[in-house]
Amino acid sequence: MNKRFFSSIAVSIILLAVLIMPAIAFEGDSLAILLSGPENDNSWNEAAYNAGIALKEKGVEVAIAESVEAGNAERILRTYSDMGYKMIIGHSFDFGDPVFTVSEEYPDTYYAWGGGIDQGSENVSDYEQPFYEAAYPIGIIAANVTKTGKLGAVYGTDIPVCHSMGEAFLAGAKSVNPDIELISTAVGDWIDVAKAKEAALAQSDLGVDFWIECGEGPALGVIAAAQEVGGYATGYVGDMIENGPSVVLVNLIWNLEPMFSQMLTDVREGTFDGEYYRFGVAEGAMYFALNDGLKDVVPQEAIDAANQALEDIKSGKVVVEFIPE
Amino acid sequence: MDINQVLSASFFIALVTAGIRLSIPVLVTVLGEIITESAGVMNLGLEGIMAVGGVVGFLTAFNLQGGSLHSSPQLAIYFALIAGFVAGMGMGLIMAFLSVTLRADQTVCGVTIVLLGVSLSNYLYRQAMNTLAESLVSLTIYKIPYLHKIPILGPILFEQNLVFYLVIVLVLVVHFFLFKTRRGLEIRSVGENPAAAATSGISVEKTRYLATIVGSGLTGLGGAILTVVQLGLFRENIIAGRGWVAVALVIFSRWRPKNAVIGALVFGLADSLQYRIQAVTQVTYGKNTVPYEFLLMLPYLLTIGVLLFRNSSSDAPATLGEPYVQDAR
Repeated sequence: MNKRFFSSIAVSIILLAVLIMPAIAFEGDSLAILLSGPENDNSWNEAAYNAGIALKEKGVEVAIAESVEAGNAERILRTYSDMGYKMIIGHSFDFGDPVFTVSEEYPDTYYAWGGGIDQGSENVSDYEQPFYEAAYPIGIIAANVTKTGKLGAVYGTDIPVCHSMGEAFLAGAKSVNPDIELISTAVGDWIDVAKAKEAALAQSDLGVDFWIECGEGPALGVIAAAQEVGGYATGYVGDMIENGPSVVLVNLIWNLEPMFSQMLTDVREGTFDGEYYRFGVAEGAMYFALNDGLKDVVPQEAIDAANQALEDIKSGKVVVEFIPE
Repeated sequence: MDINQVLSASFFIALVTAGIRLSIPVLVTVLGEIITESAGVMNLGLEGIMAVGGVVGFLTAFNLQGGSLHSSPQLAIYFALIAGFVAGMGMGLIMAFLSVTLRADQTVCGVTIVLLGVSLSNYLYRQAMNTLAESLVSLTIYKIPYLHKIPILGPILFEQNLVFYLVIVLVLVVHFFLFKTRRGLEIRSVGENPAAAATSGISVEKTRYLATIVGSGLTGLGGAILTVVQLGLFRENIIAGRGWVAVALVIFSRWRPKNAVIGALVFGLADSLQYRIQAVTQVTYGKNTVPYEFLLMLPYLLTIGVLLFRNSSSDAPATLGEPYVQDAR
């Protein structure tokens, strides 16, 4: 027995401890979230971040990893799985493959991914992103604000989540004025603000003066364009007023807390079965919020009509058509 | 509205103006890389250097506009552009040290610089700013008296911000520097035949350092123009591949500044055209008549097409990408 033997024993014990330690599960609910961008983007990622923080304040054990690249996602998913988090959410379409891969290695851990295409497995859920439902009342506001009768939609790419949003926006506007037109552009990039701005300027040249956007880059590009040439923008799934206080007239807000909370409940009660979670306007997960600083721009009856539409969607009186392409 | 909409003067003016806007940050970057590559150093790190120039420029402008230069926000922008240039030079120093002094593989160095630059820019931004929502006061547009009234050309060329005019001057300066000055000749000779250059008393190391640092400075400036002048904001990955486009355009330009102008413009125009076609066809026909995916492909298709018809390998600096070892042969 020499020194080397003892040191290797010591190392083994430490290694063993490190390996065993994380396996100690959390007592109550536990939730880990992977974000594809920064937690304070006033948009997609912040929506999930806020929901996580709200649950943390209610006593849930919450861990959040921000700006995770798809290539790193598997590693981080495994780390959280090893640490004993029972519910792990990959809040991006890009986390689909990593989530499905890792979920097979940890059959007792539950996962969700932001697919929006109803694709799950035994321990993986997908969740819907029904932005189109809240886009309808925003269309009512837009129809009352636009001077040209031309609305714009700028998408990262023309995927169903985005396309349906633009179409519902148009449908809402047409419920006020059937002659209103929509010009939609796909930028081909979710983060390139400069290109999105050019896309918005091109629409502006054709008369567009009210936009809805799908994607953070598109939203920032439209806000930058509106600040330059006039018109109003919609905040994309978060409060973007501080990005453009004089042009962001209304925000489309996404509250993910009720859905995350439901997932935790299903895990706790053993009812998690990979269902497609649908949380939209009716569940209070999606609504709009006007910019108080620009209240004078919108006629009161338009605000009332938009609020009424939101209520009608909630009650099922109005069904917003989902037009994916 | 009909097809005449597409061919109208106002459409054309808007199209070209947008094309110029999209091309300027890339053009300045290409000019920088032409200088660097002329000395034989292949700096593939442009994407990262642009990001660093972009964030340093943005933070400088933001702090000056909110602080000591509150009353003259325009001036703050010019200081920010200088800061972006200096930050780019700093990145260039790292690249030069790796590739010239340590003689490391330049492809690997370049990719490393991209990763470092992009991450560093995100880090600096998050450390310096509490929110991601801040934006800048933008530059005013100068109308040059009389000239801006010329039909079509007037609004395109003579109703721009000062940076546009400065970039035109920059193209001429870089051309003059590389082809009409002694220092320019030294840079090119070091790129073509470092051993011969060394024999005639030129320090290969010093010259390559100079070319890499100045070239990277311009790259940083390109990034700063994008964030400070054109967008007034910074975001993670805001450069969005423009650094890589610039690498391709250097080859397209055959290492000549005046060709770089054409290359950057073609790329910018193709980009601005596709957004305008998407919008106009919907107004005209009520739907997208051309699949938007095809239009998005257009700028890259054009780049490949033009590269196909230009046999440019013979124009490349002969020792591009090769470290120089004195007395090695």
